[in-house]
Amino acid sequence: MNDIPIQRQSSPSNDPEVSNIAWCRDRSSYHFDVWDNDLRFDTVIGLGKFSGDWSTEVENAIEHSESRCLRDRNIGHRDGFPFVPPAIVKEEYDLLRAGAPADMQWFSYYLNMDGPFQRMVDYFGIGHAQPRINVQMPGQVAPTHIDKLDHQDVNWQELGRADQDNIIRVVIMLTPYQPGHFYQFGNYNLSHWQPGDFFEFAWQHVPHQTANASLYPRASLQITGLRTDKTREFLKWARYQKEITV
Amino acid sequence: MTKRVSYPSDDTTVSNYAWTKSRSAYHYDSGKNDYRFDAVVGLGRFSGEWATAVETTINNSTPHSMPEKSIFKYDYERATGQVNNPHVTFNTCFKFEPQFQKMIDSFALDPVLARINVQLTGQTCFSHVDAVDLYHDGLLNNYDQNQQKQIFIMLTDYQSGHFLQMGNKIITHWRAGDFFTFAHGHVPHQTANASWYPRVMIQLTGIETAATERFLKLARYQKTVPI
Repeated sequence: MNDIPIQRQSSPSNDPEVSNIAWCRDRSSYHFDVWDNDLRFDTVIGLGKFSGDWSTEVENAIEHSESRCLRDRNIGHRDGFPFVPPAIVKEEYDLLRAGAPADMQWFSYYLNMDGPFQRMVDYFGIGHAQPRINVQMPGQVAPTHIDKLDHQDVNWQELGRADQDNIIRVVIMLTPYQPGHFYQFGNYNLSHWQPGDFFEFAWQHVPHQTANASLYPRASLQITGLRTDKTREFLKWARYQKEITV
Repeated sequence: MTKRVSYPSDDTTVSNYAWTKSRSAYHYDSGKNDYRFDAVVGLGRFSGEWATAVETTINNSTPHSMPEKSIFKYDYERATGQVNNPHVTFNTCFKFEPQFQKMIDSFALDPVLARINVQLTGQTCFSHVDAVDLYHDGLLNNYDQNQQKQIFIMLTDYQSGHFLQMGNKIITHWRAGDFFTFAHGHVPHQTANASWYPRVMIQLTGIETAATERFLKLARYQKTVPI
């Protein structure tokens, strides 16, 4: 595909055959109207708050995180996929069409779940859990996308068979908000979080985008997997606790 | 090589961020809201048709990297840990299509520095406070700060993922033609484009004249100013 130069255009493609954002949009119930406000989608759902001190661990995670672009962002892709998956070809098409480089750096990843992070993961009891720490360094940008957790990876086939309500993606903020930490769900700009806040959102439907134009890294722990009875019990409990000590 | 650190420097001798912060009246508290600073001041709205002119401008724009001066590079390297990376903040264009020249002339700033900023997908402009007195060998130097104006004229509609923040205020939902000002010498501001649409705006920096005051008064009470 990359043999033919892709001309920059000032709007994204509507063709799901070549464009990832068009394909995701096709299966989304979101309104895609910047002037609309749908309370199901233009929001996040707050779930609870962890308390404790993980500043040393988060600094270590930031320091050892590895910068990732589209092609190597999914766990496993970096270690020798024999071909570029078609979904990534479509994602790169969207970037090139927008005038961005295909190897643009979205996030830096850290995959070791050090002490407090593993304790957070364990609380949720998520099945087939895929935890990772996303560090967005100053200057990194994750352009508008909709998650395809059910299509994500060969290791995640269980998710592909699950009902969308049973696939959960929880985001736990690990560093405090700073101006320039841009984090948007649909038309909603999330800001002013505290470390330990955690939330979910309608991952299959809501276009979301992030950027870091501050001088501080932004770190969050993202857990993706299947809701279990333990998950449901924990979330019910977490909702009514002032905070949960880690 | 500057070591990466997870917060900006306080040393005004090496850091542009620290130096501009030291002479700013802003509160630098992400939990506060000061109406003088965590805001923009809407000035008016141009109306007309400039979609083709915008496309021409985008195609004529070229990447604008961080200034080479070490004081800017220090903050970047300290925050990112990357050295000698030509980080592109946005594209700029100095060739003004007739509609845009007309907009610029309306403000009658003198002297004036005008440029068009095109922020493409993936580009970020880090938190900074403008040091207008350093521009163009001090061209705007010997004026009262109230006379020094910076005006943004938005040339494209807002899209989700167009991030534009003054202090703690994230500005959204502008229409092409909206123009506004803000306390650029005090308020840290930052931008990024995480949408699939370019964000295009005229940035004017200059000295207010009597004609500027007349135009701004007119613009404030018109529904739109036709171009």
